[in-house]
Amino acid sequence: MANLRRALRRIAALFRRRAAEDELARELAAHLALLEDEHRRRGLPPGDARAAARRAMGSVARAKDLHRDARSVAWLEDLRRDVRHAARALLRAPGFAFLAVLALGLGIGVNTTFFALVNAICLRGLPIDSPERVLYVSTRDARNQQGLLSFAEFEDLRSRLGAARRAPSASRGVTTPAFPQVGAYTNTIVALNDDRQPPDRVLGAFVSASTFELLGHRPILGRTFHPDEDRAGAPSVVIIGSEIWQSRYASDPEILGETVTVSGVPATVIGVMPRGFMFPANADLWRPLAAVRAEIRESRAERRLAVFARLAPAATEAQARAETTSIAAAWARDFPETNRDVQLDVKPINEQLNPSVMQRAWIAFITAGMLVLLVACANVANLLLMRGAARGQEIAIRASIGATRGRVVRQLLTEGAVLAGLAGLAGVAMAWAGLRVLAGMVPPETLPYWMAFAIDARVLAVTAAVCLGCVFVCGLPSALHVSRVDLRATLTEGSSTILRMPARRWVSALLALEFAAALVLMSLAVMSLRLDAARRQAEFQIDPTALVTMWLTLPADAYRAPGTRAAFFDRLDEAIQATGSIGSIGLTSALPYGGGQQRAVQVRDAGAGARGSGFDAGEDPAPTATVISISERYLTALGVPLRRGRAFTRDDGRPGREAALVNERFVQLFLRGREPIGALVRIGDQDPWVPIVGVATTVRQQAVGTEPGPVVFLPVRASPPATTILVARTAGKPGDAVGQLRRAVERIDSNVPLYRVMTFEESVRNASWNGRLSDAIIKSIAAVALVLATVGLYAVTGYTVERWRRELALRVALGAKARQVGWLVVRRLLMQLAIGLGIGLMLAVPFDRAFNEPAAGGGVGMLDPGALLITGLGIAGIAMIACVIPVRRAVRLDPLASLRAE
Amino acid sequence: MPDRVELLQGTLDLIVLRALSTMGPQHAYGLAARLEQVGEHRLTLNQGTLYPALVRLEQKGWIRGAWQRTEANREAKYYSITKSGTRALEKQTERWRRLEGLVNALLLEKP
Repeated sequence: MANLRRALRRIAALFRRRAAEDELARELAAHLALLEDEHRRRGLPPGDARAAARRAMGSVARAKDLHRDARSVAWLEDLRRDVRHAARALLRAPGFAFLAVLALGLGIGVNTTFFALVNAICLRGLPIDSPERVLYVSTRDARNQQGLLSFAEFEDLRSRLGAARRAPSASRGVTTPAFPQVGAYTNTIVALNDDRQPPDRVLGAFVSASTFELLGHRPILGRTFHPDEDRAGAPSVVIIGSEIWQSRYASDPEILGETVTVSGVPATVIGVMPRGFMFPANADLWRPLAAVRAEIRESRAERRLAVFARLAPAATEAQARAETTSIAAAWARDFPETNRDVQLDVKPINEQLNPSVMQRAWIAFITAGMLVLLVACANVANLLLMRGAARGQEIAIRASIGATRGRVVRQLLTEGAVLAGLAGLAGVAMAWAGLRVLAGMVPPETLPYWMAFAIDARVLAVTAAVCLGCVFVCGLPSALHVSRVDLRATLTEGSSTILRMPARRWVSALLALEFAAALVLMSLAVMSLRLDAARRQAEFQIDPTALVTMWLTLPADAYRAPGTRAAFFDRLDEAIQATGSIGSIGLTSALPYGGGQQRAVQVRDAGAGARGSGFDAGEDPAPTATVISISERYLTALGVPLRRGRAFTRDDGRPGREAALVNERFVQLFLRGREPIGALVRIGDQDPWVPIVGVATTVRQQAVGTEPGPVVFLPVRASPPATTILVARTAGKPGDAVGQLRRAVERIDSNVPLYRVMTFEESVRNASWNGRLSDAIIKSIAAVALVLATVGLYAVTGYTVERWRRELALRVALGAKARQVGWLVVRRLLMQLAIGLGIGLMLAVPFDRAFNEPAAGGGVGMLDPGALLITGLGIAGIAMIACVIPVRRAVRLDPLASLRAE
Repeated sequence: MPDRVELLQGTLDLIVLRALSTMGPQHAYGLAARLEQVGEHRLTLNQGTLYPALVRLEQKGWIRGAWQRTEANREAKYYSITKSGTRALEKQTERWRRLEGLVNALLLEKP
């Protein structure tokens, strides 16, 4: 009790040091006064009395020290002193402090950013109660392909386990099942409409009633689904997410009980889920399983449901696997047509929904981050060594007045810790800013809601650990080195002799490698810039002026038949024609850069018979092309000229009037100099052969790849898509056109939502986010590598100059010119640079092979001599600028001062 | 001074408590003088070493310090023993006696 009280007071004493010191000083003064009185009373004259009092008292400083030790926690007091000392030392050398914090901060920043990305995408997982106990149940077919479950299978799974729960161990000796709760979902896109606002397109999901309880989430308003609402015939209900509730309904609690239209079907709102619940992936609206179409519900072969289950408290994953395996065996017996070779598989839901961090790409990513950090640490270690060289005398003096080696090491490590702490703050700030930029590149609804690029507690913990590691990696070499001082030698001969660097060769090697890495990364970045430029020149660029894109989705229930969709597009076309004033408007299933379905295609001559997979396509085992559906004015609206033949007409795509367009790339790859017009193309091997009626200029359709790929355009009427993108080259203000289009769509069907209204440029940017993200990462890493290499060079040069001080001073004293002295230092620098860049060049060869697929026409590689030369010179230039300060210091040495100082 | 002895580790606290309990509130100088007197000048007690003991005891809550005036109208910090200090003194004294008995038995035991 007393000891606990004392421990607390000792810690408290840390924070009221000033008061305690004052009190002690007062007490000691009083003590001395009393002693003095005593001595005077014994007859000593005042002066002698004071001296005698002091003698009797002993050393006041020592008494204070002992008091401090007893009063407070000694090592904490020391730490506090060390930190203050370190902060003061760093403030005295602001340039050094800035460089060290910059280098280490960059390293920590890159590392934190990378880890935050990996954490967001692989590690964080679903924000649900104990996610490791929630298992994802999937099927595996005969070819071991993972698949979903059918409704019948889900119901059966649930009723078997549910029944077992109700009658525990009754007849079959079954104990509690592994899964007391089983849930299922399937994603959907719905058109939400009501009397309040124009229709919205909303990501949603059909979910089982058990989903919410199983995941541990409650509504903020109303209720979730009842088990009855899983079954057909239940009243039509809907739960909305807080995002819609706020944006569309202004958080109106009266929404409960209101009837809204969900994809054309009236449904009563029964609940509102809290912010942060968007299961399974960015859903903002939930419908019960009862609302799924009957033919899907009733078919055993239609596997559409993702099934998941929570493990019973005592159950294990192995037990769950055993149970599902036996259920799968029973199905194979009972339903041989659909379930003969179908296995059931279970794994934690996060393993299913998140990529594994153990994949090679992620490991490479983390390793790259660690390498950058390591290089940063090495640089800071160099900086500290350089500083240590200048501080030899300070350390020697400390040692000579009694500081032990451990104490000196601790002091130097504290300095390292202060640096690492500052760098950690800078790094986190950098990572925060970087993550915001990266997150801004990801279009909405692309990544599941729990993969937000954010710095959470785990990231902070890792960064803190990394900082701590940095203290030792950066600080220890110099601390050990500097503390191993030869007192006499240092104090008599001067600072430069204390650092005999056995590791100097390592420092040079490291520096050379840093420059090599900087060259490789910079050339990568330069290559990607040049690729962009080359692409812009070589590829046809769509003029984005006044080009607006918007998406519309036909509600699945009302437009299930292709005929109804075709009819909708016909009417839309008429409506657009009728307005006339908008400009040219086209429809497409996928925008340029927006991807589109890649399908196997077959081609043959018009006259040739049904000759299998077409003529001399021998080299391409399975020619594939992007297949998209467009309306007749789509290419006109985009401003893509036709090279041959004609565009689609209003009749193309009607039965008996099949027609296709292809791009030039398609002709180049698959028709090789033959007449394209009239040649026949077939998608897959089931569809009919379709004649090619025209050839369009090649426009990039897939965002990735060095070359734009082949594209087949089909008339929108031939295979009308449910989700279509409108492209409008507007004559007047884009806003007016959007309004007119909205009204036109509303007049045809008020339940069809028009969304993602944006400029063409924006949609291209969104579509190519993946490439832009990795591009941004490569470029920033390249910049970081250059900064680090430069700081490294600066540190080593500075250190060299410091070490050579004496020699340089002698040379100057003996008449060497400033130029000669400067050259001496610069020569070394150039050597380091040359070696580094040489290694970089050699490394660039394999890198070039790895990153640059042999492109047919591009011809932009890393090994372009001009680009390499410019990059190398640029790096060398920046490096030389960084060394101006130490070289100038060398040149301007005052020989007298330098020699006398030592 | 041939027969001066150093205090055993840990005994200073006990001695200070005892002195305060028998003599009432004392300042550090008074305590030092008292210890020299009781020890008949055989104790090597650097007066400065009293302070760590005092702060230790104060932090444990066994003594309490307060500024007062001496008879000669000097200011000084007077320490007095607290209730829990008195209890601790009893316990420690008891412990010391037992320890003393044990040490005596072990060291002075006739072979």
